[in-house]
Amino acid sequence: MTLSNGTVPDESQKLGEIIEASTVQVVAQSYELNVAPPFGSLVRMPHGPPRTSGAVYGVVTCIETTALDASRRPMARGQDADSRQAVFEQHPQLTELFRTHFTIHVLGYAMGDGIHHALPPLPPEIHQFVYTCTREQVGTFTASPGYLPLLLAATGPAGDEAVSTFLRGASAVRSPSDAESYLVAAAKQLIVLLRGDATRLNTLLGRLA
Amino acid sequence: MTLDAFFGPRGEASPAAPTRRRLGMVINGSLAEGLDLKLDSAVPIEAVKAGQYVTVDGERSRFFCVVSDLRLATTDPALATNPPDVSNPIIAQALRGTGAYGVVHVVPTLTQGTEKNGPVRTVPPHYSPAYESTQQEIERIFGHDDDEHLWIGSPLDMEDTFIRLDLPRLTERSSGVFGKSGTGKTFLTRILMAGILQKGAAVQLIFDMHNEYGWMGTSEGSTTQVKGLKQLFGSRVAVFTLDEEASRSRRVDTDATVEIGLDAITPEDLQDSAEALGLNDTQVQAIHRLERRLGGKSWLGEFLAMEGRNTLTELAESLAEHEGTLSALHRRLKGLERLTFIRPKARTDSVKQLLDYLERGITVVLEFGRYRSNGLAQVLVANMLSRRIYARWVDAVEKALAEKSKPPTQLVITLEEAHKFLNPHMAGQTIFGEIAREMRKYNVTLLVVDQRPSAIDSEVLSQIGTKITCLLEDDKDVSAVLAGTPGSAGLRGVLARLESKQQALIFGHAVPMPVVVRTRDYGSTPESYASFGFQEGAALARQAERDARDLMGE
Ligand SMILES: Nc1ncnc2c1ncn2[C@@H]1O[C@H](COP(=O)(O)OP(=O)(O)OP(=O)(O)O)[C@@H](O)[C@H]1O
Ligand SMILES: [Mg+2]
Repeated sequence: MTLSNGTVPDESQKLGEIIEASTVQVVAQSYELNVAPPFGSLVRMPHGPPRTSGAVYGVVTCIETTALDASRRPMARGQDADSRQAVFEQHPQLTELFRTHFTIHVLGYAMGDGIHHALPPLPPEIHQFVYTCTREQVGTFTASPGYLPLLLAATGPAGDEAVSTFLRGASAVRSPSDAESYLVAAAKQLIVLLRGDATRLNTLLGRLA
Repeated sequence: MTLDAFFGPRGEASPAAPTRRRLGMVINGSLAEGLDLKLDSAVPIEAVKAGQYVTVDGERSRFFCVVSDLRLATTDPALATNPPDVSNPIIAQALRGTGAYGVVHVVPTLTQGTEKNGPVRTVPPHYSPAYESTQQEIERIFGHDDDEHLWIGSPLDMEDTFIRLDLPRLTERSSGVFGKSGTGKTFLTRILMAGILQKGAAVQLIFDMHNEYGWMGTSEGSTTQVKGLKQLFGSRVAVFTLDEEASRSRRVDTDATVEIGLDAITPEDLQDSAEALGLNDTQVQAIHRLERRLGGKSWLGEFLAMEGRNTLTELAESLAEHEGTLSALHRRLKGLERLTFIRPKARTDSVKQLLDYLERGITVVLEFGRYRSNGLAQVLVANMLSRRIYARWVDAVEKALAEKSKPPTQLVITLEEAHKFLNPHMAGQTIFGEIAREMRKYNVTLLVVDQRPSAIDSEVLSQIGTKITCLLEDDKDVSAVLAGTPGSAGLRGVLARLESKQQALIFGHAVPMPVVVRTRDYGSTPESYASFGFQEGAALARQAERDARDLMGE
């Protein structure tokens, strides 16, 4: 996949920034509280020298909102308020005391010569932006099923939920008939990859369709 | 190996040539037991059938195989005991070919090199792709439409593909047509005979016990009568009869009536027919002494003419023979007089007549008329004639060897109810046993037709080069036919699954590998005659012309 020089496609949104990175896993912080790419969706992080089309791709496996200062425990404040919104109006500083973070498991990367369903040679860089992917980008990244082994390995606290959500999402960007053959092909790979673990396979297959 | 290779090409673009349909790939196997193919998920297992041809592309050569078994397999036993929700079409589709897949067991029968086919001495490597064999491949193996090949039928489910027999190989050794009653032996035999005639592969002497080859045979089908050889091939076929009356009443245009003079019957002839005459060994020995005693050619006539106890007693004394033996012998041989074609002295020399035709390359069909189920008539006549004709052929071959000249034409003698001549008791002494055992040495071979091959002497059976067998149900018969054939365990299954009519398993000398065919149609349509070169009006005119020429002795 190539991106036109440095520009981001229209529907792609810049939602956060990398604050922790390894070749396997990335933690990003959202710019806005409670806003993050959806759980189980594909995200894109530009990678490599500037103004090239290089990028690292990953799946969002966990989203959490926590207090900025981990040593101070937040308190309940809405006993007398009518709504959550009212709480924030009364205590405007609250927005600054919390942050939304999301975890990304790496599924592959793109370099000049196309997409690789493998871990990148170097981890995504700190403070790199995190973008949601367009339908087209999702379609291209999932065109062949090579990302499945990494996806199956990307178990966050929610187990295989991210896997099934990812696959359903990838099928949704396709036309109905393509969506079905995409799911069948993916299911076939699951059957092979999860040989010997019939329980996990059965659960996953059950969530797919 | 990529996963794609494991699963086979996906739905969309398969770059393989459109004429070859991929079935799967080799995953297991041995030279002794054959190969296991994993079916591609796109191929429904029900589209693959036992007996079908499969070509496996090895790295160095192609392996031509036959499907012998189909099996369902799962990668994980848990998938079998605790299957995913297959009511969901996506899951069901995904499982097909991956977790649950079809395994096709094939037996390689030939390797196809660039030039010629050879026996199988190795196996293709793991993951070699397997394809449905194409029509061209099959026809390359079984021969093309030329003078040396006879179209016998089509592989099952491949109506437009022709299986052909190699005629020189078919006729140079004895061959056999087997099958239980009503399976199509007579029709198959007719096709063989017509093919041999059409291509001039051999001259034939046909002992037509049931009067169905020369002129008009009966069929259970919609057309109740089918044409005989004389009708198709005119003057290239002569019909002889043992029973002029019966032939005339069937409006058969016969060429000669066979008569046998008592003076022509030798002790050996009677010995050939001992079983049919009900003679024991003592009685057979007595015949030889009798002949020496009474002497000349008239010994049998004289003996049969003897009447009264005293005459026989005297004779017995002078021969130092037990009187009981002699009178029993007398009683039994009297049975010969009930056969109308036996006369004290024949008016014509039937053997000479027969030889005249055969030596001119004209096929002779001998009808038995009313003797269609008379074992004595069949055994006596067939043995007598064959013994004399065989002797002539042996002479001719030896002469040709000595003079380095052209040997006589190949002669094929067809015998229906062959077990009457070739059962273990008779095969050792009759001429047919000898012909079968001498094989091709003297250019005479047999085409035996029988519904009970187990009743035929096993040594004779083992000398039969090409076996064409319709459905056989009796285990003994199946074992007898398959004895000594490589891969007979697999063939046994194939044989048992034949349909009860017009299907046959062919194996042996005239085919490069065992093959199951739906026999070519005979007689149901005018085209079936035309395919043997028969032309209705034109044939008659040509025949008349040729007949006239033959009459003039040209
Ligand atoms: N090749 C064929 N073409 C057309 N009809 C056929 C063919 N083969 C078999 N049949 C049909 O099957 C019937 C039985 O065949 P056929 O008479 O050859 O059996 P058979 O084995 O010789 O039986 P039997 O042992 O009783 O002599 C025929 O009458 C004919 O209707
Ligand atoms: Mg018959």
